[in-house]
Amino acid sequence: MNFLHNTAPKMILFLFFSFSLSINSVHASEDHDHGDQHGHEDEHSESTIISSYYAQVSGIKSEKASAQKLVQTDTLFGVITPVQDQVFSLHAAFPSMVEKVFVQVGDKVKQGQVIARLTNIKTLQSYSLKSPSKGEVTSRSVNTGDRVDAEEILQVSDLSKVWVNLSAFPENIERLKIGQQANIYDLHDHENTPGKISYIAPQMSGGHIARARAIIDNQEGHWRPGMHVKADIAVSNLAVTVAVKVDALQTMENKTVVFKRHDNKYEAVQVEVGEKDNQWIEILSGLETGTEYVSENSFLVKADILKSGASHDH
Amino acid sequence: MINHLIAFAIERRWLVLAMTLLLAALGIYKTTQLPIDAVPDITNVQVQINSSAPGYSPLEAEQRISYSIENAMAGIPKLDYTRSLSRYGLSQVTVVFEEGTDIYWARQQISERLQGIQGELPAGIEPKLGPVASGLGEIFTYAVQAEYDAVTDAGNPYSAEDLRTIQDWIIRPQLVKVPGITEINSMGGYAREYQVAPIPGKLFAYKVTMNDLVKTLENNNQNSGAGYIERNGEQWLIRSPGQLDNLEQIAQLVVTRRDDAPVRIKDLAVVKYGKELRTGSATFDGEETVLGTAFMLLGENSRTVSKAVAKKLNEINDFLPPGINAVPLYDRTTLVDKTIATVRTNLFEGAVLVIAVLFALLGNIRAAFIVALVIPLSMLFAITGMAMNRVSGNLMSLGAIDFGIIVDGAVIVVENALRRLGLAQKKYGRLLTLQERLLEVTESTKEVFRPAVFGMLIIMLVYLPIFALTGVEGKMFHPMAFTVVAALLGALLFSITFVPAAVAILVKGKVNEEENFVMTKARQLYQPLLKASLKNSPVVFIAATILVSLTAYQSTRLGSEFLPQLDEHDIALHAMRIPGTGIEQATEMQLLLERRIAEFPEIKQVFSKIGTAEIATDPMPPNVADTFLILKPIKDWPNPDKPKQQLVDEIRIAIEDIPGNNYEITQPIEMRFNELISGVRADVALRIYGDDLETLAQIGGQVNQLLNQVSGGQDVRMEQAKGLPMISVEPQRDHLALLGLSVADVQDTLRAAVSGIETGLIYEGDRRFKLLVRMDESFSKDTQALALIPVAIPYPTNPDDEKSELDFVPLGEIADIVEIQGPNQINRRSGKRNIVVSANVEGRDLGSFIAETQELMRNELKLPAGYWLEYGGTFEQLESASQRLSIVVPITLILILGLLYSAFGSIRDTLIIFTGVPLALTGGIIALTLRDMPLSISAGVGFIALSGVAVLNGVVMLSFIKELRESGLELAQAVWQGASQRLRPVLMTALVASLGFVPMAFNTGTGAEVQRPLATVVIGGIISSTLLTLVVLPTLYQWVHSHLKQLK
Repeated sequence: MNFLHNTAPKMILFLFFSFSLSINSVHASEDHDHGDQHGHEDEHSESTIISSYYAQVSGIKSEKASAQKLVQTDTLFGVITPVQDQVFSLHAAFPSMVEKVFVQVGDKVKQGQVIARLTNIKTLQSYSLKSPSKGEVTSRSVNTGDRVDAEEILQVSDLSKVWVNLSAFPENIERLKIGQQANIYDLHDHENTPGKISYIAPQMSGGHIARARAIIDNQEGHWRPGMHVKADIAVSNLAVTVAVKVDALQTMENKTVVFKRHDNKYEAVQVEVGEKDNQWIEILSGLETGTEYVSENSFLVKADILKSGASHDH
Repeated sequence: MINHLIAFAIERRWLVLAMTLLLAALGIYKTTQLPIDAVPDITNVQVQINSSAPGYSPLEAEQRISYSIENAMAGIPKLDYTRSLSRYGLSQVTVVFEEGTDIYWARQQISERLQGIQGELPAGIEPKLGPVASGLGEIFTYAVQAEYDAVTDAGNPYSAEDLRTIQDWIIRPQLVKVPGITEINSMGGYAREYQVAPIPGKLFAYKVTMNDLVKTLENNNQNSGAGYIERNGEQWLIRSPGQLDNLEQIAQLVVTRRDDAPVRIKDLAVVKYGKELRTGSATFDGEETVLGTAFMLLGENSRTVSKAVAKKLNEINDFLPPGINAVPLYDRTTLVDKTIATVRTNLFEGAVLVIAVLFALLGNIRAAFIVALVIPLSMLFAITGMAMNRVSGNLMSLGAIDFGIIVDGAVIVVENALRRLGLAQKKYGRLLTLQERLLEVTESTKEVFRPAVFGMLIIMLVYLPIFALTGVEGKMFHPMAFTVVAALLGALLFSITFVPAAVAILVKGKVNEEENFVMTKARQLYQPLLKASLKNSPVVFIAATILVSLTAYQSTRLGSEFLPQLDEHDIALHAMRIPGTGIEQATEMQLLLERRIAEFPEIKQVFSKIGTAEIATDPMPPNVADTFLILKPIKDWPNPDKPKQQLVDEIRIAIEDIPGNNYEITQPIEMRFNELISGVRADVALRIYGDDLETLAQIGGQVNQLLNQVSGGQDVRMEQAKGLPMISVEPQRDHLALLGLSVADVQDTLRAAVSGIETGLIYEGDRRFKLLVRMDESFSKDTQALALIPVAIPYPTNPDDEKSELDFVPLGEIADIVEIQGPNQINRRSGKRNIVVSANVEGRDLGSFIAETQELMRNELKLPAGYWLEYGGTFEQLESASQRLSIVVPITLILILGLLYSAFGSIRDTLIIFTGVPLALTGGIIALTLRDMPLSISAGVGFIALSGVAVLNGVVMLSFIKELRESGLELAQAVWQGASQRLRPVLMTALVASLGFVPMAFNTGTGAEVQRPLATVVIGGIISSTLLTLVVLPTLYQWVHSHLKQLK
């Protein structure tokens, strides 16, 4: 009797506890599944296998690490100015009356071309004013009948070459050297022209910049003085023995890595990097020339190696 | 009183019938109001406060927004706790209230407090409350798609941005008006932006600053009203339209004048439709798309609402531009219909079987019909109660009703009435007069009133402990318990009023007192068995004891699961990538994944949500994608016999090869629930609270290691807090000072370059779009590009210079640009930063695991001042549930004992009846073993029902034996006669209860898997319990009573 009396409540109690327990063990087992899944990949392994099909469709590309020439560039802004010794101000030799001016602003002139006739007031002799250089009339301030003394009559500028006055900030100056190649772009990116750094100012301006100058060709007259431009200057040319694409680098656990590829196996190798340009980066150690590495979409390889750690936290 | 009640029911039988009819009518009306869904809603009472903070990093979002909001929420009445999450561009504070708090009241409280802190928040940050929806709220998803040859008015193919505009401004406004919808959430594509992308070089060339540009845009884009004038008695309103309408107008705006020429925006910048810096994207069948998700208002009927949405969407489709379609992808109706169909089939087939059994055993079609009527009546009664209490109808609540058990009371009443009527007819040798008939029915009802009522009350009582469950478990099972109890209550009410009344009215003809063929056969089998048992009582007891012990042992070996998974048919999978994966990269990866999945012939559609939608109901980082796999109906599969699990496995294997993804496979509703109830669903969660993120992470690491040492700890995991790559632009203050710049100048420039500065809105009719100043993407593609971003220097830089030649300075010159790893997200709980280390426990009990962990942490872990540790996780719930149950279960037992005692006035008999329970359970466990099913809560509910039925049968049997003894019969004779006479009701209640569940036990429709264990347990248990009631109980009764007599 006692036995039966005890059994009934116990049985019910047992049932309820088995529910509670079952709640518990369900969760345990669910999460356990995850654990298993993760277990397939060793947490500390730094390699993974990606089938060639998926490598191809997801745009993972590889190439061999090789020696490269790095061209590092700095971008500077600047303004076009005429070449200082190619701007000519024409003056009358004596106080004179203007008989006739033969050119208008914008006219092209040759060296020695007569551009005005003047009459000396004292002698009343008529004489010609000739252009000292080929170029273009850039200003004219007199007309027939005007009297001129010491003021400028005309300005002729030769704009077949122009200066690019670049603003170099302290950071840039360290790398700038005379003779470096520059590529000048207008602000619409319509045209560009090569030039060379010909001058770097020995002193900084009040605004804490230094002027650097490049001379460029302006036969077509596109580069008008006063125009704002930007310039890419090749500040260094380095030949390095091992270089990889900049996009190949990834960071894993605060280390810089590149992914070596061996067929379908991708392995992260820690590298020490040196100089870089827009496209290439020098590898100082960690990767040898000729090693196949992931050059494009390397993030995907990193993502695949680290994916076991990816979770959905709320 | 009892006599009066019964007499009343029979005298005023027509009135009773009319009342019953009225109740039924009310029930039918209420059915239309019943919230129906597939599964119970297990979401807690919570309000999300989302603040979109474009450009804010997790740290800033936490510091300036989450912190303020959380603090403001502290002290709200009925607050359970707050938690917050701060990510890039988003702060989300979730305020969880105590159960039963009115959600609208809660929102009101929050709104009030938010108003109070509006001043503390950074300008432009507007916290918004999330939609009034629960985890079941996402009822409908559609994609906006363009056909391949469709072109816009301008003749271009539709872009993702065009589609988004159609979604935001044509579809959404119409759908959001559908009754029952609280929100339409858009995802994918790009919200249209008018972008003014300044070209830095040109700004310098014209000596215009970014600020000038912003000011120009702000000042030239406003309509203004100037009151009215009265002219000749007529009122004329005055207004001055100055709003910008299109790109061309923006481009033509004059910023300043240089020489004689106006400098227009087009001279300084490119004006174009921009792409927002999006935080989420969407894909569909391997293409980018725009998704809309409809959120149902809390407590609505998901079936009705999603049907209405589908209908509305269909209408909207007619008004979309040619070639554009809104395609429904996920529709909750499908699932709900399927589940409801399953429940309906089960109930209908069960009811038919019940009627068949009744007819076979009673041999009277009218009587069988009356009993069967109790089924719909009590259902309607239950539904009325549910609708009034907002208890939702679903698989769990409606599916747990066993008609067999419901009609038990009615069966007992009708059976006895028939027996008495038959006997009376035999006695008089003619049909009875009305008066005689009424008298017989009244008498017979009185006779069985006690066993019927007490039995039903006891069944109701055993459901009581379910109400003691709290949290998720409570929400899951309360509706079920409520429904069953309501149905039983209804059945009880009808059994003692409607049933006798109907019997009195309808059973007029000849009632055969002779038992029919089935009963005769049964009796022929039963009587020898009873005789043998009565003679060999010790053998019977020993056999029973052995049986109970064996099954008790077996039950410990059964597997266990929480709840059999409802098969939603569709699959949801989380595709997870490493933190820091960009949205565009993630979208690419997702497209690859989708294309692979779409290759499966069983897949109808596949669509994904990547990152966070416009309204952050589910704030996922860009590296997480919710992928939904909508399956074809099974009959359309190439191999319809393929189990779903196999398909899931095949998909899992297939996608495992796709690089960079980690997966979690689940189901749509399940996934949403997990996200919402969130927090930590591990057994043990150690929360470390503190200030410094670095220190927290470091302590977290230590705790992680320590926890790993505790035996039984599984899946020890630390929340990922770090790992978001950041570019930090740190201004050099000295340098800035020399140039006359401020930190804000640097930050503004940076913002203008990358995220953009909002300068107003452009209205296209009703539509409105942001007008932004943001540089072209090429200026911010990497650190080198960022270093080149020019920062304008205000004039004059240097008072000594008349006019400085310096106009600008590159960002790299005045700021250090460094790449760092920052916090991915910052979590807070109850107003403090925290980090969680969680573990599951296997192979040992939770209690000792916790104790050991606490001991270990106390001894080994050195926490700096201001840091503390808290223990949480499901173990808390389990503990409190066990605690509650350990009080509620004994109380329930005492109540049942009390009821029985009041019925029998004898402890002895009460205990004899109680022995029925373990024997009944044996059958359930054997049935589970035979069908290879694990113990689950569903099965548990079956056991609960079983205990009730076993007691009911015992009561029916013993009360009759007792009556016979009281009428003066010898013990042995009373037992023999009572047992034989009670064969029919016991057999009937048993058969209807078990047969009523047969369809449920073997159904394979949607949702059947949840009900199958329940049905299996009841069927198995009832077989054993019937045998017990018929054989062991009389034997035990005789043995106990004869031995006691000897003792005396």
